[in-house]
Amino acid sequence: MITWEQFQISLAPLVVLIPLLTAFILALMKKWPRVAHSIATAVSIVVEAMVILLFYTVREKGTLLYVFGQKGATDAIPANSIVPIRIMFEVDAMSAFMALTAATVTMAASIYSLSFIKKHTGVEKYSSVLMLMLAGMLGLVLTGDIFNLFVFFEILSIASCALVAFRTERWESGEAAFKYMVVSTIGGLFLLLAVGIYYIQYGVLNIAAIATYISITGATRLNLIALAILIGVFAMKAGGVPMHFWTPDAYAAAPAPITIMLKTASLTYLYALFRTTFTLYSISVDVRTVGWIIIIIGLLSMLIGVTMAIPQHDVKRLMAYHAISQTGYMMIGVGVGMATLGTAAINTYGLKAMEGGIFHIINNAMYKGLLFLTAGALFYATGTRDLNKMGGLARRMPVTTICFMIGALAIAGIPPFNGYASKLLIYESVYEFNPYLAIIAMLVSILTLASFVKVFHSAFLGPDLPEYRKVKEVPTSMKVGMGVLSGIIIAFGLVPHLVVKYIVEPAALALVNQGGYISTVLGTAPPQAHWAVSGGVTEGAFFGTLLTNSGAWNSLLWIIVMFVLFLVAKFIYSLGNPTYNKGTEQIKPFLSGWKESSKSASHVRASNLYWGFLNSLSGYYRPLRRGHTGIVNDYVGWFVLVVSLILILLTTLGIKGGVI
Amino acid sequence: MRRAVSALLALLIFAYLFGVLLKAPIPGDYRDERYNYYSPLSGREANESVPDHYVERGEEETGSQNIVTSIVVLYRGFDTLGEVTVLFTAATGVAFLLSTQRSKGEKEKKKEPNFMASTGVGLVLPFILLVGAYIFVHGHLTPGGGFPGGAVIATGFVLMLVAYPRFQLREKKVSVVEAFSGLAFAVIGLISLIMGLTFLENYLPKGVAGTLLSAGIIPLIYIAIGFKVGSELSAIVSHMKGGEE
Repeated sequence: MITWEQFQISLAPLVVLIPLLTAFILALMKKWPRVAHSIATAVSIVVEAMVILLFYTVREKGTLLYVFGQKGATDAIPANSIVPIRIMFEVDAMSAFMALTAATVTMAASIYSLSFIKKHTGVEKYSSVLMLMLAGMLGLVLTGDIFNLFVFFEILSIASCALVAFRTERWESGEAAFKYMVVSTIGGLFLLLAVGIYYIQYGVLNIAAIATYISITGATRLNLIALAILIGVFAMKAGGVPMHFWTPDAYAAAPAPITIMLKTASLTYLYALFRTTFTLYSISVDVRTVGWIIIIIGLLSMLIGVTMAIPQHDVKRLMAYHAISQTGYMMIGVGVGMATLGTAAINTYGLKAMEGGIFHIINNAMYKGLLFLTAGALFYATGTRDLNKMGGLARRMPVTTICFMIGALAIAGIPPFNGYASKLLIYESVYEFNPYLAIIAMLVSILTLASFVKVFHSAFLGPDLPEYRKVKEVPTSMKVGMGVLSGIIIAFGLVPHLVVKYIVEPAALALVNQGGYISTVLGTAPPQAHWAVSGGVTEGAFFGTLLTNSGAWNSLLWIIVMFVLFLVAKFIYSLGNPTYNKGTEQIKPFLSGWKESSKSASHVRASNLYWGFLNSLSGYYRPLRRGHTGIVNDYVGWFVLVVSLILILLTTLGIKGGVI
Repeated sequence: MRRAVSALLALLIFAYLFGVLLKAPIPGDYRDERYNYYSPLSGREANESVPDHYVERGEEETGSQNIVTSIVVLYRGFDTLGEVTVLFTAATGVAFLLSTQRSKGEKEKKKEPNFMASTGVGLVLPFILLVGAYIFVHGHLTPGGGFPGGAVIATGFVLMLVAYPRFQLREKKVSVVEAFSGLAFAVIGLISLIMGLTFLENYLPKGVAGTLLSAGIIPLIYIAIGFKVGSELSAIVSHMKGGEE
């Protein structure tokens, strides 16, 4: 019988298998859709608990191996062979980190869905496919076998596609699902080609074994082709510009809980990108070239994502473009780590940049999830996603408003929220790599704040519009779903040093440590892969201090200082003579003597807010708008173009010793 | 213009990839001596790659005469579970997309079944089902297995749809078969987990290779896959035709 030890080792496959089994059962419960979704919610909570236990086990015992169908789950190489034969899960701190992110978001999404999709038919299928998405994400991040990764890539893509099409009564769902399907299928086939390239050369499918071979033979031309394909595929699925076109369509058309699942799925593809570059190739290729490729994709994502977000007036499309732009931060942070890999710089600022990027992954999953959920709440309450039609909703939906504010401040990087801590880590370390990158990153943050000010102003502030007099706050389960994520954001914002020390830094070190990943499977690692990075000190002497690259950040201290300043300001204010009287002429808007015709006429609508900005930049926006054609052929064309460009870059500069 | 550029780009990529592949190492290059030293067990055995291992030790380790089957079901059984799940997801997705577009308004013409077709199908159908079942039951002995067997069974249902215009698949029953066969696959694997073995590790006697009752859990899994693939493909076809009225 199974023992506790065996159970701990079996956690990795169990967190994938339990949702998988649940999905098969749930599809049958056509008559009890509510029960089906309750079961799905319960399972997602159980899986979250198991993933936390898995994370704890990885912390205690180091990298976990689980070999499927072999005597002794942890013997990677069977007694009668010299290479790993079977599929295995290899869970290092980075995989466990991603699993934690995915499971947490899924939990929030399924709690939120309890009332969100009440009015729909096919809820049992929805819950079933939601469980498949969870299984797909966890499998993708836990696996140590590249073909197995492809299988989970497929499960995740098809499950996402099915859920994008969930609202079959709206035309846009079908269109978005079709585009997503085409793009994912082509990405999947390219991925299969890359897997084939490894298998034809080395005859193994295990990631650690392939990494060993690559570090021995160096990056051959075939390996560079495979690398170009893998970077292209995963960057496309993560929503990197200019392969992001499917993202706003899919994110806007899917129901809000599914949007946050899609967002988290894109983060798992980002993980796959990092796994490819750091574990499969590491220093076998010219790290500066690969690092700069990731950085450039990240830079384009940040800039184009945020500038495309500003003119949007569909709240979910706006947030989708922000999702793209935030992914850019992670790519820049981790890209800088890649570009400094194997040099002395990784110890001085490279690792910090990676920590910032990886910290940003979990932060982003939380606040982006929260924001999409508030967008879903707005849609649930008002029946529209058009910001131009909204206004004055803060009066009716106080909880949603507070959750939105938390999410918006976090995404804009305002202290003391979690987004600030990770962005500070990225700014300070990227500045040492290349100052312009850090300056652009800060600029993008400001634009992010600007566009969320727009959402806040046009949806929540403004006069009490007559058409929304009957709007009520969303049901409890949706509040709980948003509350879970808000709580995590606030907690991460208050104690970023603990999060970095216990969750983020182990993940960053695991990602860098190619030798460790290989030797867990093979026992030893080739000398080319033997170089390790020691973690820096992340915790300052004073409680609550996070040491960033050249400075420190203490949110508790910041709050205390702000509170004292607030008291001082309050004191100064009380000295004055208040002349503001409620209920008099003073509170009416001044319209140069004109009478206010109606409340809704005096509300500045979303599209009118930044007309000056958009007008003066029309030369920039015109080609950008023309580029977003909405034709799926163009999406694929961009993907092929980017893969070819990466391939040209890699074959000219990527061979080790090349210069950029 | 756009087409010309795309075609040119595609041609260039093709030429480049083809050129690289011409100079690429032929399959089997991994048997190079250089790869020996990294292995902790080197010296005990010469080079061996994963395909070699399958060919040389597949039958001995799994008890299955058909090596492809031993790879699909045991060595890479977890991938197969994943692929079955992909199919399941696709079937559910099709159900999502097509569930609202049932032909309620336009009543299909009540065509009488063609006599030749219906008689022919009536004669052939039992044999088709039999062949399908044979293929997946004998998956560990002869070429074939759960996937082709299931596909053959699904063609039987497609023939029924062709021959009898009013024929309808009982979606509910099909989905029960679908879910339970998927469950059976996963449960067979989970039993080994509960027994203290690893997921999908064989726990039944291997028997004599080449006989029907051999290869441990392989036939059980292939039967589950056969039912699952058959029911799923039939359900997809039935959904595309218009589903239950």
